Amino acid sequence: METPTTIHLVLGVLLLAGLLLGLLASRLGLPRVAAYVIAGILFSPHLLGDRLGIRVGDWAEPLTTAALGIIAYLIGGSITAGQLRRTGRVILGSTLGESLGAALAVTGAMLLILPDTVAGVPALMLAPVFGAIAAPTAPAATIAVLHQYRASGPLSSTLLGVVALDDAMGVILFAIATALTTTASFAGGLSGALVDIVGSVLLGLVMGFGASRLTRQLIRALRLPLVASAVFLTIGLAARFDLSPLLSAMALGFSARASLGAAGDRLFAPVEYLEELVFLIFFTVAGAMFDPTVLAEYLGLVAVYYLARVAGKVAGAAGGGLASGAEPVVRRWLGLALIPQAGVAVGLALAIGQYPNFRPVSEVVVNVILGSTLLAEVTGPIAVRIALGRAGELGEERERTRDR
Amino acid sequence: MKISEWIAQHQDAIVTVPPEASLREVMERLLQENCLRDVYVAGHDGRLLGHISRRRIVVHFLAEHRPAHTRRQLMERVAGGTAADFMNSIIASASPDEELEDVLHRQLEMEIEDMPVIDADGRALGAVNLTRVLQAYMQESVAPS
Repeated sequence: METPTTIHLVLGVLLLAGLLLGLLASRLGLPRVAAYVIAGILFSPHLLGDRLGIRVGDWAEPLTTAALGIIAYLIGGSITAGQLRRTGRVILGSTLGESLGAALAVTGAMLLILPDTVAGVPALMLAPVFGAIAAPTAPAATIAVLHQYRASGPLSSTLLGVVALDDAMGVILFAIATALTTTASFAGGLSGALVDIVGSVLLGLVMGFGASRLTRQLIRALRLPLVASAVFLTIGLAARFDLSPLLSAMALGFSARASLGAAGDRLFAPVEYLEELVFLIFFTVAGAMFDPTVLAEYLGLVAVYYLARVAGKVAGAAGGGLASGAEPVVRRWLGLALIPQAGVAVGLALAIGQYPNFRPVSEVVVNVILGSTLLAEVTGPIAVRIALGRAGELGEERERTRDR
Repeated sequence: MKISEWIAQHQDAIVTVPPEASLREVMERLLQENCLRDVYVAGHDGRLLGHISRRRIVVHFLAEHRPAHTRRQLMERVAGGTAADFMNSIIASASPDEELEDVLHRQLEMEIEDMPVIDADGRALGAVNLTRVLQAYMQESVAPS
């Protein structure tokens, strides 16, 4: 039975193991993300988990939902309307192209290879969810390579903008995919999705405006409690009214930042320190849900997801770049530099468990995304380096940084 | 001591830039100062519109040396902007009839190096500079009674 004591013990063991392996990975110049996942896998039921009585139970779902709510809030708050205007057509066009390209390519590929149903869930529902999860790119791995090789030029600057923006596309596409596919009929799905999305955005905008008004009255020590209460209340209200908790949390962040402008530091800087903890929770919990039999059964799915995502990113970035007037070097190499995939994708995979229609298939989604994330984290930085090298934007290499 | 007396004795002006100043102009204005100062954005009528911390400007210009960025820092680096885009429009300030001790309390709590002193119309009359207060405090504490 899961008592609070066992839940705390399991969480403590997972986080500590992730922390220690992450520290070791940093010292060896390896990505911390992979270390967190391996720490979780060590305590999965097929390895030490069953022997030590460590099991990730139902308690993980509200925890990861709250954690993903915080990330969605940070994603929404990282962008202002003014910044979007100043960013320019090339970055916006390339972001739309590569994120939609990956989403469409993965959705199409999944529809082709999935059986009619997976664990009782129709492929028509499941494929768009995989597509949405394919859209985001992990900024940390990309920036680490840009930094290490002192890269500069049109591809490097476009890449920085694109990785800053496409997490937001991932959350939006995920909200649309889940809203569209949780209603029985297609027509019902369309109108239901519209209500869901508009309602989620409105809820977040109102809550964000309220939070920004309150922050003017608060001393520094009370800002983090204000954000935590606003995020939890928003995702709770969204779930209560069958809206999208993630889209609401993202709109909350966008609205709070828009109301505060550059003073938004007040409501975002204290929360940004939590991001590493949130990713530590995502990866260790997802790792502890690792099941080699599921992964073996769906290994082909991992390969197809990975290859379709890369193809979609490359073709989409080229198309988006062409439409927005990007330089040839950007159109040619941007997609290859967008392979890294990490926290947001794993968080979205974990979030699928909160939708009753998808619950039977959540284990498959988590294992497939975990497998492809490990693959993308290993190959992604190499691909970024190749793309920057071919574009002629690599500078003198710095000593390897530990802080990946 | 009243703030009005303090600013009469210590002629510290705040560093100001116009709202349309580019970030490079803001940095150049900052580097003209001899000590570490924050920058304030003032309209053409002299009213204070916002505040940009010195650290924010330094971090922006040295961003390519950071191995990791938050998404917010990444967007700021990519989108750039003017002083008006970067300023924090919520400004902590003091009025001339306040006690120095009360203002200092706020300044230390909010970690503000230069607290602008503004009149009823929002125009800057001067500033309470923490380093200057420390100098006065040290002189007072070592002076023979």
